[in-house]
Amino acid sequence: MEKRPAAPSEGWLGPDEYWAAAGLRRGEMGFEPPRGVTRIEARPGLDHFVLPTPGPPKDLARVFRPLTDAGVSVDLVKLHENGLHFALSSSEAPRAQQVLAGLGYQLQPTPNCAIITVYAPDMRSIPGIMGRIVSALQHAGVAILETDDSYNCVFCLIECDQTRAACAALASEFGLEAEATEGPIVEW
Amino acid sequence: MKPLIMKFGGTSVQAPEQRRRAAERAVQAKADGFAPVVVVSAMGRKGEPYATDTLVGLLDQIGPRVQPREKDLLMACGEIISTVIMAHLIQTVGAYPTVALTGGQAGLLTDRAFGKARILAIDPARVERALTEGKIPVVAGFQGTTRSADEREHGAVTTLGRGGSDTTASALGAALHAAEVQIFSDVPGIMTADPSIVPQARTLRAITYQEICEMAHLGARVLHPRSAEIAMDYGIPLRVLDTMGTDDRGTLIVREPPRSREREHGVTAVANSEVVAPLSLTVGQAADKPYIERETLIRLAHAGVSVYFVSATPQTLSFVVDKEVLETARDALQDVHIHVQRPGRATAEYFVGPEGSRRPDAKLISLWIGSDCVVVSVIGRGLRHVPGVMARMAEALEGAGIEILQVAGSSNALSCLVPAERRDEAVIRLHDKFHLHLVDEDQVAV
Repeated sequence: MEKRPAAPSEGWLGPDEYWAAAGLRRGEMGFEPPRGVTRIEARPGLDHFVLPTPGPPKDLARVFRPLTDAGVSVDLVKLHENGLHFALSSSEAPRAQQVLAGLGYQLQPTPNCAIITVYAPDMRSIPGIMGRIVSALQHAGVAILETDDSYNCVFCLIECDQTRAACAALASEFGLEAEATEGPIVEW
Repeated sequence: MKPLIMKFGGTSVQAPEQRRRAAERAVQAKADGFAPVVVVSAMGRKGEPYATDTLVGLLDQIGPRVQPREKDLLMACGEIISTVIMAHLIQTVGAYPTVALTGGQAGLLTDRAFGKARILAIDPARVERALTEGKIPVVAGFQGTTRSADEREHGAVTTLGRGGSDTTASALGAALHAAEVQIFSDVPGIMTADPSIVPQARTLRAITYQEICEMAHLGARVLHPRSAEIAMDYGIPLRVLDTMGTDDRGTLIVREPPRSREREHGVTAVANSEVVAPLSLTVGQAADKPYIERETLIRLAHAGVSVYFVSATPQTLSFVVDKEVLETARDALQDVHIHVQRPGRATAEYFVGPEGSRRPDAKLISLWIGSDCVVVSVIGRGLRHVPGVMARMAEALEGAGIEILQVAGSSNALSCLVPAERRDEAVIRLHDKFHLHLVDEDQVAV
């Protein structure tokens, strides 16, 4: 027999319940902020690279040490079955390609990318944030090139021309106020 | 007199010797001109008669389905017992009047999420009145109450979840505009790594709120991150100290890092997680994979499983879960059929898991569960933008033959997934690589 998902975790207050329980008006902040997504940011100006490998990537230092010595800072490093993925500033991309080509590596670049950062304090105590992000972006037709996550945020790498659509979809999904979607693109 | 919050954890109140030292510290603070507010945890850890886990065990012996409201009421008793004893002890030791208060009496108003309640508001009037009267209030940590209107009773007792007494201390510190919140335990402060793994680990004299939050979330058994987050939001300095120690500098937690060699490499500390399990789903049909990814993450969320180290390719979805919820995750995903309805296409059916119970027309998604792993991390404020950290981590780990299985980053940390059996060596190598044992304390300004 097919299994059905269990009921969602109980106990959390939704935004409206939170404000009601705290005796606050909508949008006012209580002593501790409500759990959930609080902010969305976008960082454009990145290129994404795939360095194909015959199996899971090994000897990462052989790739990253020369880049460091060349003054190139990498971001969003991910290890996949057949490749090492990472992002870096578009302005540093030519230098990175030159350095790694000199070592015999052939990179597959995707230029003009942006990282969308979804902030959600105490995120790991609220299962489902990642699922809602993926779902919202998928419904908006935004392709996720890569993800990363920490205890208080999720990073999604997307193509830069989809940034506004992505931010709008995420703001809508998480019920952020309209002004949060107006100018979400910021330089870090 | 400026309020000073002094929180004593379970190990600081578990035995008469520790309790007396804690009481002496409160009395000394009063004599020094502060207005101390003492926050206490339940006495001792599991096995001790009044420890929280021991009390919960009384219910577990009867049966597993305990009502959350009743469980919170019982769990709150450990702190209340401790509060009354410490109030009486402080009064006896110091001849200062004291008053014992529950979390609700101290004004902590929470939501109704029993077992993991959040603080909605604080009314510190009762504590302030005690201070005005020259008393030392002793407050039960880890607990609050709902509003009187809730539950049709005079407020239901709630507990704040793991690390709740730290949270109480910071919350009272914020509400009372305290000079400092002091967290006393059985360690001299925040260490550069777990000293049971790295004997050369040293006590940090200062660290930022962001760093301590990151350390705590990445597995370091230090201050609870929620406590640091409240202190950061309200600008209250925190200090971590050893109850029985003689060095009263401990570790100060502040907004800005000190200008010192401690920040030379951008890395402040190394942390390691508990054991985690890596999982990976492989889908044959790449076009359907985003739909399967969404369904997978939603199923895990409904099962109450948090995932992290999430990464994806056109045909795979990989992530890790805490080892303690692996069976729940497996149960949520394995042997299930997933229906994919892409726009303009016929419904496709997939089946996750062994071939055995797959319907004939369902395509197979393979679920791979890897060997035990741990997450080892280097932490430092703004580390994401410090060049070379990834290269140095790779050199440290790969130089010892430790395989890096995955990488994740945040604004203040970089983490690697490594085999669990190489945990200690990985932490030691990272601590050494970033020279965390070499800092000259004289140059560390606070």
